[in-house]
Formats: sequence, C-alpha cells, structure tokens
Amino acid sequence: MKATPRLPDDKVNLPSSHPLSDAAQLIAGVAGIGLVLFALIAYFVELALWLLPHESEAELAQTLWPMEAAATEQDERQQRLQALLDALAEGWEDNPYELQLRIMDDPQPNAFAAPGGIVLVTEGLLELSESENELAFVLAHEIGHFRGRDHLRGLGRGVLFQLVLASIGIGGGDVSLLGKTGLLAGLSFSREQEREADRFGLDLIQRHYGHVAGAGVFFERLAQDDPISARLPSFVSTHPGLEERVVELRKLARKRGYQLEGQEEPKL
Amino acid sequence: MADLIGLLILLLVTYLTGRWFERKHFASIRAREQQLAPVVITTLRSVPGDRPVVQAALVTGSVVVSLDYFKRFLAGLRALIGGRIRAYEPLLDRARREAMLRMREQARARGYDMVINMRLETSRLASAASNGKGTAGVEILAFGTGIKLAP
Repeated sequence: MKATPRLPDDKVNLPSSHPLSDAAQLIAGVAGIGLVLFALIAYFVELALWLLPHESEAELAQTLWPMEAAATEQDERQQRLQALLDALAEGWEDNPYELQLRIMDDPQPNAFAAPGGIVLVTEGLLELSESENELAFVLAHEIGHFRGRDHLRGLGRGVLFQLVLASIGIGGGDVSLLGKTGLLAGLSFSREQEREADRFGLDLIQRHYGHVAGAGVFFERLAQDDPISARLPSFVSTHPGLEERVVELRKLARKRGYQLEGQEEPKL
Repeated sequence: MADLIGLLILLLVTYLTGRWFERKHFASIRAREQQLAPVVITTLRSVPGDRPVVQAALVTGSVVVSLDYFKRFLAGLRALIGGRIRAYEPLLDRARREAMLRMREQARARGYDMVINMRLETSRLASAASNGKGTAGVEILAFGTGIKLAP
C-alpha cells in the first residue's frame, strides 16, 4: 500500500468572515438588545414610580444616607435654609414629603433632589447666589423634581439596568451600586423633566414672594461665569441650555401674569 | 469615559497583535506541513500494508493556547446572542495543527516513518483567577504510535 502525502484542508475549519465584520455584527446585535432592554426598563420604572409607597422611599433613603443623617449639623444657616425650603414647599398642596435640606461641601454650584425628600445643595451654589430669591428658585426647582418623581426615575432605571446586567453575568454583579457617585449619576434628568421642574418652581416662587424676581438670574450667572457649557457641572450640562431656560421662564411668567420685578430678599 | 477609552485601546491593540501573531503562525504552520508531509499520519489502528515493523512507540505533541482580550470580548458578546464563536475557530484550528506538527516533528526526529492510531484530545485548564471558574486556556494533545518500518 502506498501512502500519498496530502496537506490538510486549510479552510474548512476557519470562519469565512473577517473578525471585524463579526465584531460589528455582534456589537450591533448587543446594542439592539440593550436598547430594547432599556425601553422595557424605562417602561416598568414608569409604572412602578407612582406605586412606590412613601414609607419604602423613606427606608431606601435611610440605607442611602445614614452617614449624612448622622452628620447633619443644625447650625443657623442650615435652619434658615430649611425654613426657606419648608416655606416654598407650602405652595405644593399635596406634598407627601417631609423635605430635608442638606449642604454638601463641594465648590461646584450644584443641587440635587435625592430619595426621601432630601434636597442637596453645594457650598458652591450657596456662594454663587446673590439673593435669597435666586437660591429659592433653585430649591423650588428641586421641589419640582420631587413632584415629577424624577429623583426615583433615574435611580430606578440605574438599579434595574445593573440588576439585568448582573443577572446575565456582566457588570461585575455588584448591585450595591447605591454609593454616592452612582446615586448622583442616577439623578440626572431629561430636558423635559427639567422644564417641568422649572415651571413648577416658578409657580412656587410666585406663591411665596408674590413676584418672580430673581428666578432664573442664577442660570444667567452660571452662563456668564462659564460660557462653555461643556465645562459646566453635570447639574447644568444635562439641563436645557441656560439662556434658553431663562427665556422660557420669562415667557411663562408673562403668560401667567407673574411680576418679573420685585423686592429681592438679601442673601441668606 | 476614561474606562471606555481604555477598553477601546485595549481592544484595538489586542486585535492588531492577535491578527499579527495569527498570520505569522499560519504561515509557519503551512510551511511546516509541507516540510513534514513525508511523515504520514493516519487514524487507522494498525499499520497499513505488509512491511514488517521494526520499532513502535508513543509520540505526542501538545499545545496550550489562551485567548487575547479582543477574542474574549467578542466571545462575551456572542454569549448574549448565541451562534458560532467565530473568534475562537482560527485559534483552535491553529492549536490542533500545531499539536499534530509537533507530534510529527517528534516522530521524524526518532526516525519513524509514520504515526498510526493518531488521536486528538482537548482539556480545559482552570484559571487561578475567578475561583477557578474561568478558563486559563486549553491544551490540545495529539498522540499516536510512531512506527518504523523495515527497509
């Protein structure tokens, strides 16, 4: 018997497609699945948002902010800000929250609405505002976020998305992402949510002061401070354009017959 | 954002290096297959033909391979969608052919004319990381009986 040496088949076990086309196909597929997942998650969060009892939210807030709760120092400035917040919140008739004001030691001007009715303001924000009315509008805007439950929406999506990722084995499986950074990242809202919070905030300001002087001045100040919006803190950059917001606020004030001029209270 | 850029750079670099090594390896495999063609391999269990056998012994060739980051990434995405893990196929093809080549090189070095009853085996090497659940790589072993025929 004679053996004829033959070379092995060079192609049959190799894929015919280029690895990069394979990669493109995979990424497109996964992105598609991701989009569908995100849409589903957003839908379920929207459903659950209005069903979450306030007790559960308070419990959630307790697990999120235990340190801050202990560290809250009741100094005079804090008390005055709290009083302002409470006074503004009176304009919201069916307010289920006991709003709490907390000051964050951060030089960036920023404010957040966090679960449990906690309004966070940074030292930078307190410094930048030049009258009570300016600051009051930012607080009223944050109250507007509570009304729209925006503070739970972003968080809910974030948590659910992480859960889904963890359950399919990617993302490290660390669902305890409710650290401070993760939380604040979950607190960025859509433009429409911001506009709605602006509108409600303006109503609160009118109810409290009888005029809306100072509302929006803060945005103008921010815009002047740093015209390159890319360099602005997240609180601002995820918001609609600053000038655009001021214009819209003026328009709305005129439409509702709010006075744009008035006596502004001195800085707190 | 920095994470994402890091990931993209890692993917790009490992894709390019992986491609380069793969091409080089395939070129070497093809050249050596040509060279070693006279050492016949067969999966038959007995020596074909009727020439008497003067010497017979086990010959082996073993290759351990692992993945690069780019291939691992593609396989990770593939795990979500399903289907052929195309990124792995050339790697395993290279490993099998390399293992058979090493076996034949051993056979030739010992002066054997052929290798009969050739088999391939694959075993997974557990990774020390992730509690031994991950795979560090696979070993492909080619083995058979080297045969020296009477002149």
